[in-house]
Amino acid sequence: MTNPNAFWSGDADEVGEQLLHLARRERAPNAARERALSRVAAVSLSAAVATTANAASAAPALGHAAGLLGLKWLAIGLGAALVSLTAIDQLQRALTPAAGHGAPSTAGVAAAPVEHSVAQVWPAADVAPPVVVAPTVVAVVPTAPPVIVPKTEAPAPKAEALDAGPSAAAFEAPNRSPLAREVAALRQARTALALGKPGPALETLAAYHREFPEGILSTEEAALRVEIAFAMADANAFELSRRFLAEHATSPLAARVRALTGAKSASGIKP
Amino acid sequence: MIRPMGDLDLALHNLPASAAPVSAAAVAGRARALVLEHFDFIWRLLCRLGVPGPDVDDTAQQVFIIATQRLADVPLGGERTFLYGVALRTAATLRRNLRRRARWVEPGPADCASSEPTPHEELERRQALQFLDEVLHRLEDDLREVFVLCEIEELTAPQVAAIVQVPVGTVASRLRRARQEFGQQLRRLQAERARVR
Repeated sequence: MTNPNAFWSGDADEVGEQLLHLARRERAPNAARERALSRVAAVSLSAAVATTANAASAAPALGHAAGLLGLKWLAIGLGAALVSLTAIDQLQRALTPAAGHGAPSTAGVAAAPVEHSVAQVWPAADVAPPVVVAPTVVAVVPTAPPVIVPKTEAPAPKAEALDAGPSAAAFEAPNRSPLAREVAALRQARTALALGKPGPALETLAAYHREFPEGILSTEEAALRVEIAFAMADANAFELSRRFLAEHATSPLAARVRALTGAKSASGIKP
Repeated sequence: MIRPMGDLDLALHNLPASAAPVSAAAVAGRARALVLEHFDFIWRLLCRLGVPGPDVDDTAQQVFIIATQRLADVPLGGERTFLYGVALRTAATLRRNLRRRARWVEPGPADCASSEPTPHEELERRQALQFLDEVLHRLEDDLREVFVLCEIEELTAPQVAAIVQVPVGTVASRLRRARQEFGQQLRRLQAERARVR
């Protein structure tokens, strides 16, 4: 029935129906599907981190319960960081066999053995695992930095809570997986920014970029760079923001950067 | 003091959906489900819409990456429509770019089958699908999209209308024209092959 000669000479109506029938039964190669699963795994991790960050930045404008707002920032940040860490830890475990050395990239994620990445990165489609609140990660950095938070509603996170997060040693520790070090580096930079120290934050980011020029979290790095630039009143802040939005227009972080840029413009800072 | 996650969830309950934090696990789970459930459809659609064989895998990946990045915009139950819409636009953009760069090699059938050594039946199957793609390639883009969605993916006219974003009546008229055109082009291609042989 699939003899090409039959298609070239048979009754056109019948041939057409046979061809369509054949096309309906076609399936994608398993390897292509598995590569897509791996790529989407990496992207969804990034998207989840960014979405929670965006949610945090949007929260103060709502202000439903005055007594709740003070705590909301810290709580949102902690919640976001916790779920992010849970997912990142899952991804780390999945990537560990393939990420022994060098800076990981998206391609590296895609190249990881599918049996590991699919089975361990992803929860069952209909049963998402609960977020585990581990005592050891309670004092992590809020993903919403105070730079974009209205002053009256969003007190800066307390230094002691922030200081309890992963240290520079954690970022630089060579025995940690590359992804864990990426996460630690960005968290360290965000901690410094949240403490009102954009200079050290920028230094940390520069160190991160040297070590991971094409890191998995490079989009987050770029977004954080914009935030730091605004915090330092850098003359290039608006240009950095414009470039980020041009290069990452579809990124979930774009909304965050756009909101920050809009807030700065509205506050009288000239683009 | 840090409250338990249950209280935190309650505290966030009043936030609008767009502002509520999304669990990484939930995002990952939903994105994975999209791939598992719809990858075959999207991959096949891209093949039939004229995406060159070597580009099909990457283009299909791109469709799901876009969907993952915009997961908040994907309505529950509307995943297939959303993905098809992204796939149609992505394929159209790719075709446009290829034409612009004059890299569109006539007749341009998409060889989507694996390049690995295949048995004789598989080879015949691939040749048949190439033949089909050659016929489809001769249809106008608008007709081709509707024809593929209706005749191969077997979607209903309202579903196709939602994907292509045209009225149902337009889908019906395009499908009618596409069927006529498909039959004519198939006969024409058969005649051309007969002359060559």
